[in-house]
Amino acid sequence: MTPILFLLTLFATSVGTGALGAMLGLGGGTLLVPILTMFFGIDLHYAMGASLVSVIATSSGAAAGFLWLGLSNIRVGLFLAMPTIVGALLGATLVGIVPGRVLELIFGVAIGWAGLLTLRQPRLAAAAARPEADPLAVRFALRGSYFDHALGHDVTYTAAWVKRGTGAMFGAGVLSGLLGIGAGAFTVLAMDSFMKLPMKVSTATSNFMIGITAAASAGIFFGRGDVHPLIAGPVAVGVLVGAYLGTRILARMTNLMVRRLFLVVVFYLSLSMILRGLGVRLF
Amino acid sequence: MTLGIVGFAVRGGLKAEYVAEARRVESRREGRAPDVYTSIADVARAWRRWPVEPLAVVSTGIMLLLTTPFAGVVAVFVVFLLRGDRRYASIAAVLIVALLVSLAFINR
Repeated sequence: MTPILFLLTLFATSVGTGALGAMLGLGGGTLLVPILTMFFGIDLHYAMGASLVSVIATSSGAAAGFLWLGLSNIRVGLFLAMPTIVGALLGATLVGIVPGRVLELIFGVAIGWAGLLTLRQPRLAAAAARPEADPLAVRFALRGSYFDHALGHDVTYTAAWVKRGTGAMFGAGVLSGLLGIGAGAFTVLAMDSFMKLPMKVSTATSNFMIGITAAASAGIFFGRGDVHPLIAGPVAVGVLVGAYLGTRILARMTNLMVRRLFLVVVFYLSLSMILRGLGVRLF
Repeated sequence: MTLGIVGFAVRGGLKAEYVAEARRVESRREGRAPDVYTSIADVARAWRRWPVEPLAVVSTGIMLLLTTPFAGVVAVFVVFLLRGDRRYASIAAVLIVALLVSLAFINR
């Protein structure tokens, strides 16, 4: 394949991955790494480096919008970014030590798990019963409110079970650094299921956090030579374009179509990566 | 990034492979792929050559992108400081230090 053809194919694939990630709520990185390694034969470390760069690009692109809508809670994001970054730095350091096959195996399990978590369809509206206020949430003012256009009124919230959420964020950070993904599915789960934050706030705040988390490990990847400009460049631009298109396409799809597409894509990629980790190459 | 990618495509043409000979020599000594830059100094050296290496332009774009979240956290730090919220200004400061640790790997 000539360089021009490679660049064009990579860009087009990244647009598709970005669109698919936006439609399925998984993020470009989670889909990108297996696609680059399985279909392009790109080295796993280069794929992870490119994925991290694309996560930062999409996070930076969407952050302003969520902030303007009042959905991102900066205090919650900063508080939870601390354990997440520590985890990400640890994970990124481990990449240089953990064998590639083990990384592929972990990746396959992580995608499958992220798929299962997303299928659980966490609450989309504010919780009916509020748990008791966590002392840490009170102390660090982990609360807020936003106007929900779908409900037609303000929604106020306070974080619960902060310690559990912090622990989960550390784990999400390790996965992010180890696998070169944003781990958005895991951070949203931690905020929604553990800390009982409204889904929209969890998603918007997660978008704010994944950029910071990815940046924490991206420097280590760059210094180690895992960010190949010929791969990361077109991928970052493509995923950004794709994510924009994906949100437009999603509006025209039914929930059933999205669900079916989600199941097929996620479990196919998960199974393929697990098999690669076990030494079975499908392509 | 886009500028660098277009520059690479123009340099290489439709059929040819393109890697700057100077990069090939430098990287062979260090046992690395010639297309990959791993530090600011590396990229700066490539910018000083004429014509400028397109992949150095792409890498510059990537490095600038990597600093975007850092700039965001610095802005948040300033806002909390101006509002007198020392607790969250401190948290933002901790995050800035953590991000600087990561960026230090680029600035070897």
